[in-house]
Amino acid sequence: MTQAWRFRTSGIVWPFLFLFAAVPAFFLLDEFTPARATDEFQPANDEINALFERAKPSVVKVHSGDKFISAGTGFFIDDRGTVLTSSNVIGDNTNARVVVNGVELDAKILGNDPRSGLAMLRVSYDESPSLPLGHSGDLRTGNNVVVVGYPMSFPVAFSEGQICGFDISFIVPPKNDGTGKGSVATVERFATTHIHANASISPGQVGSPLLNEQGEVIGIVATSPDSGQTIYALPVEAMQKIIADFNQYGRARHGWVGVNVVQGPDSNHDGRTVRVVQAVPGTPASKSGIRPGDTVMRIDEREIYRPADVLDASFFSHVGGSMTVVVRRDQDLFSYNFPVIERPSTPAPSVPGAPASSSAPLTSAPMDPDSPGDAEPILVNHIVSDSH
Amino acid sequence: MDENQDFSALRNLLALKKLDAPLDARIDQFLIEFHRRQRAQLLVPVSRWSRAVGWLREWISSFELVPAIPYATAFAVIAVIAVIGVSQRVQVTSDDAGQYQLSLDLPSHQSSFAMIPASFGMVTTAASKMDHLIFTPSRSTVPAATRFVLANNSPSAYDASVAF
Repeated sequence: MTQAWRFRTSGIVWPFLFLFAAVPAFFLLDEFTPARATDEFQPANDEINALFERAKPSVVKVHSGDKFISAGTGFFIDDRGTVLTSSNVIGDNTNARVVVNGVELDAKILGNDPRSGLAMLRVSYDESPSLPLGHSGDLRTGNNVVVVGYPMSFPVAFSEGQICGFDISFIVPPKNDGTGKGSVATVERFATTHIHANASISPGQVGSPLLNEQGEVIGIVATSPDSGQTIYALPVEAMQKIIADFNQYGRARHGWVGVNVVQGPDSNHDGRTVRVVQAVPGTPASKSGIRPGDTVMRIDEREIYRPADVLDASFFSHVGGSMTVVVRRDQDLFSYNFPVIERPSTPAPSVPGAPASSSAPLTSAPMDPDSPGDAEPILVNHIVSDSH
Repeated sequence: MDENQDFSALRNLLALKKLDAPLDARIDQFLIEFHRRQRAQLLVPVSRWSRAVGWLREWISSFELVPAIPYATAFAVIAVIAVIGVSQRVQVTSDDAGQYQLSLDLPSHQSSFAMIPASFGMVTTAASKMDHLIFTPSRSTVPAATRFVLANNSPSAYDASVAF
């Protein structure tokens, strides 16, 4: 005889069953509730908002020109009313205004350097709220960056992105010239390596500060060749070099020794691709004996692998100082010591195959081709040129 | 007898329908209810707007216009207002290089058009070739066109060759 079995529960079992079901249900609901996601992002949101609120008072609008006004963004770098902005905002104009808290103040142009893309202004504004300057040397691809600036005629805005890389050249997309034929994309080259970030900007935000997560200035927005999708920013160390020139000379003084180079094949399979093309006549290099075809190995303490390394070394050289250049010719190393002179505003174009110099070569001695890189000091008893 | 001429069935039906007629009390109740609702409708206060619309409709209908004329008039009024409004906001300026600036000053961002760029203009050369679009501010205190900088177009910003 079969009989249906029934589970008979006493009253004391029900609370245990309820707890057995309720505890997992509570954790499941807590896991999938949207409020939990908000809680997790809230600290980051608060931090970003605090960064923006801290930076906002230091960021200003910059106007220049009378008939056609060029408008961009700038920011205070000290409490004396000194404003940094992009030279492209100033252009060829001789006047500039800074809009602070809705009031337009006349500004004095302390310096304007198109090559670095930096301009420095000063307005009569005591105890101006300045942004702290950071360091860009420890930045890595993927680091978060923030841009605070004025898009068109709208209020100050915030945009965030990550560092895409560090480039000295960028692609300018083809322009529509109205003929229907279009044009080709071109590659332009900065004077020194720039920070490339995917923070999007709008017209009017060139000259904005590029900030790290601590709210420190790590660069200034120089240009956006792709209609605001990504930006290129001059690093803060390059800014400081130009600011020092502005303060001391009222203009930027770019140094060079007069050597044109191109990128060649990596014939020795060591990554060294910079070849000398020409020693520009009338420069220290023209008297040194450096020859076309020489491979540039080192400039001062900087190892040279690509043309960008050459431009970075040249950008941070100081007029009146000296520059030590090590080149490889065949398998021998030669070290030259040049006085750094001021770079002309329009350097002589590169002439492939042109002779380096007609002057008699100075005595030189080969260096050890197996000498280590910057780990060991360069042997200086074979300096072959000192063109003072 | 022809079947079609036999109306006896119809007569029987009509005789039955005669009994379906409503009673006199029902008809009296209907009249009472009708008059009650009519009085209630008259007691509802008519708004001034409704009276104004009614008066306007009566006034327009008194002209006995052809239906096409009101539409044409409406379009004409809109066109005249648009032409006058735009003509008050068009600015034409020129510079020393022979470029002419045609700007259309639209309502500023302080209005309800918050997401629309304040105004825009086209730069045309002497050959009327479109070069690029530039944005101009809406502030009437700024008579000149404003170029909001986005890209560095200065040729002096870039070196022709790599040199040190």
